[in-house]
Amino acid sequence: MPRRFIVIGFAASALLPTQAVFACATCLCGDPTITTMGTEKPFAGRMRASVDYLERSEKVGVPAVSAHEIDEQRFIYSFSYAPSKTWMIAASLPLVTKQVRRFDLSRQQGSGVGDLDLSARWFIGESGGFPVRNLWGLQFGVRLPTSSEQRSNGVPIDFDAQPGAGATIPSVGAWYGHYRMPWFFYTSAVFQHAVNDGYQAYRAGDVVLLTGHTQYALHQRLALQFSLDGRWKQQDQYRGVTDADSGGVLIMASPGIAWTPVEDLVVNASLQIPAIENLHGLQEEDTVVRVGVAYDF
Amino acid sequence: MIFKRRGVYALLFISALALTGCPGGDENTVQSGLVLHFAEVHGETLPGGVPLDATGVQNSAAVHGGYDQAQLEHHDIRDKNGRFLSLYRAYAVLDRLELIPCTSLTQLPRRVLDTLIGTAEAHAGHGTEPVGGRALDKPNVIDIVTQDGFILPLGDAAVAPGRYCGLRVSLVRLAGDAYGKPVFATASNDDPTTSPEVPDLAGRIFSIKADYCAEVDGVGECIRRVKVDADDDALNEPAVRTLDFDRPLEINADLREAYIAVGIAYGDWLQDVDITLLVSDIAERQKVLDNIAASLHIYSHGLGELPANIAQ
Repeated sequence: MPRRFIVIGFAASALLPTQAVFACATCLCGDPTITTMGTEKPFAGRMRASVDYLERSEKVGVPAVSAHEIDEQRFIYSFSYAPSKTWMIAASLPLVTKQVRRFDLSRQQGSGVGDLDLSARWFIGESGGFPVRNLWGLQFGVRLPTSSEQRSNGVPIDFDAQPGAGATIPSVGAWYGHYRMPWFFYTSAVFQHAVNDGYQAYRAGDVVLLTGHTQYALHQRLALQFSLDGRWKQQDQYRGVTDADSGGVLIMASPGIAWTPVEDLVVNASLQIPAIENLHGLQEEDTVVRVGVAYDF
Repeated sequence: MIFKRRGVYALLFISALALTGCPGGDENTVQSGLVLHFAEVHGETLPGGVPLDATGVQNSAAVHGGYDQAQLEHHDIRDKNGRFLSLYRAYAVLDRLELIPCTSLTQLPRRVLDTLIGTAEAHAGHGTEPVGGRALDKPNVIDIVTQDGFILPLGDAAVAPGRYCGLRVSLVRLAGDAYGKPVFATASNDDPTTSPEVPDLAGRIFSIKADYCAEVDGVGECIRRVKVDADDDALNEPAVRTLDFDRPLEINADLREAYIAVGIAYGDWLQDVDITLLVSDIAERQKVLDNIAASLHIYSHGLGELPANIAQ
């Protein structure tokens, strides 16, 4: 391989850890492990810490009857560690502020620690010699109800303004990565199922997340990225009653960039733009803005 | 592991920035929204009307065949022939209170668009809050044989800001639970009946237990009364009535609270009905239902809370 391509290859690898495929912890669109763990083959003892800022909003419900708009800002603190070259584990804890504005001009704001995400990625196979061209494996995760139900004057605030759902949600999935510098492709499928109710008798519907991601390294310190993040979700329930304005199919298109200003530090920024919304009832996702920084130890 | 100071500093800086930002560290706050208080008020006539003089026929001591009029609370109303009917039980089922926004030329394109895409008006059936044990998420049964002029709160509803010019009200067939639903009880087995049946309203839009004088003696006292029980389940529903406000009701960020009291003028229920045919002729009973719907009116509306009850 010519030396130039080797250099570009290493540079691109440095960008891979913080690819901006969104782990949208609220709308659950996108593979949540990519941001926290990266996608390259790990070495034993590898550690990564990252901070991401995410801002999103959505509109739900019938105008003048049940319509409300949810604005959300969150910082996500993540740490990942590879105990061996075939396993990576990660933890992500969000700090969240959400505002709900209803059609009747009422407002609620909830703020606090969200639910903790624990995840593990198992590298089962590889092919392509050196450098490795293909990697694949399985991933496992669980969202734990580490948040507390937020209140105002002793009364629980609206569920939509809660920083966490308060439910335990395990997940399992499979992933595949293809490396062909300066290109990189990654895809995964993840299934999530809530095993208990969250706050206010909220029962999250089952979710299937599909992610297709590609990255192109412009040069050693800058890469362009693009993802298609799909989510199919069953309708949620509140106290046994199906929420008509929940669930369905959502596909987001996500252009982004990743920049490495100094060695092992990657800054990324991206937009997640609703491309296809075939959602139940009346739901409208707005564009998600996300910026983050990650550091490899 | 090689310690890379610059990167760690950058991460710490970003973290500090995040914590000062600061999602997760803001106050929890709740600001209540616009609210509309709904109530029901019934009376014999529309506001300002002249009540019926029901001192016509007196019962003889030997009267039989009907209810114990002298001992039972009742309302008297008159049919198209001037015959008095005494109501001992009278219930109507109200539901689907729906505000009607005013339409202006400037709003017309938006209104047309809303119609085309099927958006709904401000239903009181959503976002309702219970008041005095009642709310608007289920039908409300109105007991007419209670004190006239009493303001009965039906519940609070969240409402979008706007200018409203009317209210749509439906009389519906009861299919399930309701606020104010009476508990069924059989009538006493005596003559005259001292305890009229409390009807099971399931499947009914309204129900009345009543009687009228069918025979008088030589001195003009009633000696025989005939029961009129009407609560059949085959009438056309829903009976929808659109009630216009005398002036628009505007509610917005500065005027956040308003009330609407729906009136029922039960004295109009028999205005074109022959009560001697009421039991045998379904068309007469359909007229009663239509008249109940027609007797619905806006008793009062305005800004602020519901007026206090002066009727005790």
